[in-house]
Amino acid sequence: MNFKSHHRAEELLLSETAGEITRAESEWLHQHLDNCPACKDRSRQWQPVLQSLKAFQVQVSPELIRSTKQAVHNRAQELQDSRPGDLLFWSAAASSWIWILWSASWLWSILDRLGNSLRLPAWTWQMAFGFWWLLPAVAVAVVLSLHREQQRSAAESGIPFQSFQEEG
Amino acid sequence: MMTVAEPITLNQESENQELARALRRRDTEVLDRLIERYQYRLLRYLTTLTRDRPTAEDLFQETWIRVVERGGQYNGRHRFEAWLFAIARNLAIDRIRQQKVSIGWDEWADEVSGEKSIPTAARTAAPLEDFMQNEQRTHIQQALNELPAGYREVLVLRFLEELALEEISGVIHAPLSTVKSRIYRGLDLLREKMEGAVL
Ligand SMILES: [Zn+2]
Repeated sequence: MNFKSHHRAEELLLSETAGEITRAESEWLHQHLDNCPACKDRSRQWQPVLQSLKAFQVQVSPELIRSTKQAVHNRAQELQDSRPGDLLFWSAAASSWIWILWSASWLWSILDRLGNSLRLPAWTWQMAFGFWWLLPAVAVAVVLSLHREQQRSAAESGIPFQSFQEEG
Repeated sequence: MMTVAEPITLNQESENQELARALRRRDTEVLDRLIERYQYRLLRYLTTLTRDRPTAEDLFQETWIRVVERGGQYNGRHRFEAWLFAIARNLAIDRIRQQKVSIGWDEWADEVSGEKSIPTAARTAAPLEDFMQNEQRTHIQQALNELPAGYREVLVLRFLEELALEEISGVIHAPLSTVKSRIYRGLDLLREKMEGAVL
C-alpha cells in the first residue's frame, strides 16, 4: 500500500459521508480499510465528528425574513426606477431620425459645393455627411456608457473577490 | 468571477437558466422564494464565518440585496447556492476587515443551542435524546468556533451546505488541493477540540 492509496481512501471516506460514492469506489474503500489500520483508525475518528457537524443548526427569526424581503423589494424598485437607459436609447434613435430628415436635403448640397471648391475627393465629404447623421446617437451613447460605468462602480464598491485571510 | 465546475444535469441546468432570467429581471416573487429556501443554510454559513449572530443577520440581508443588484451576473451554468455563498463570503470578509469583528461564541450560544433552535424534524425526540442532542450541538458549535476560519468554513461548506469540492474551490478562491487539505486538517482539529471539550 502506498501514499496514493491512503490518499484515495481519505477522499473516498469524505465522499461516502456526503453520499457521493459509486459502488466500485465503495468496494475499493472498504477493502482498503480492512487492510489498512491507519485509514481504518482515521475513519473511526472522523465518524463522530462528521455526525456532530450535521447537528449544527441555527434558527432564523421570521422578522429577519420579513425585513430582508422588504429590503430586497425596495432595492429592486429603486433599481427599476433609476434605469434611464431605455429612455436614452429611444431618444437617441428618435433624435437621429429627426436630424437626418431635417438636414438631409440642404446638407448634401452644401457639402457637395464645399468639396468641389476645395477639390476634395467625393468620399471625404460623403463621410462627413454620414458622420453628421451619427452625431446625436454618438453623444447619447457616450452619456449612456458613462452612466452605466458609474452604476457598476457603485455596485461593486468595497467587495472585490478576494481570498480569505486565515486566522491564527 | 466564479470558477466552480460542478457538473449539473440537464434538468437542473434549465432550472438554473430560468432562475438566471428571473434574477436578471429582478423578479421579486422568485427572490422571496429564494430567501425562504436558503434562509437556514445562508445564515448558518454566515454565522460560522463571523461567529457573531447580529453581524451574520446583517450580512444575510446585505447578501440578498447584493443578489438583487448583481443578479445579472449569475449565468445559470452553476448551482445557485455556490454563487450565493461566494457573495456572502465576500461581504463577510469585507465586514471582518472593516470592523475587525472577532466576537466569540458566548453571546449567541444560548439562543442557538436551546430548545428554540431545534429544527421541527428533531422535535419529536425524547427529552433525554433532546438533552443529548443539545449537548452535542453545543460541543460542536464551540469546537467549530475555536477553529481557524479557513478550516471552519470548508467544513461547513462541505458537510453542512453539501457543496462539491470544486464548488468550494470556486467559493473560497483556492485550489482544489487546498480545499482538500483544509478539510482533512479541519476534521482532525475539530476532533481534537471535541475530545478536549469532553475530557
Ligand atoms: Zn490507508
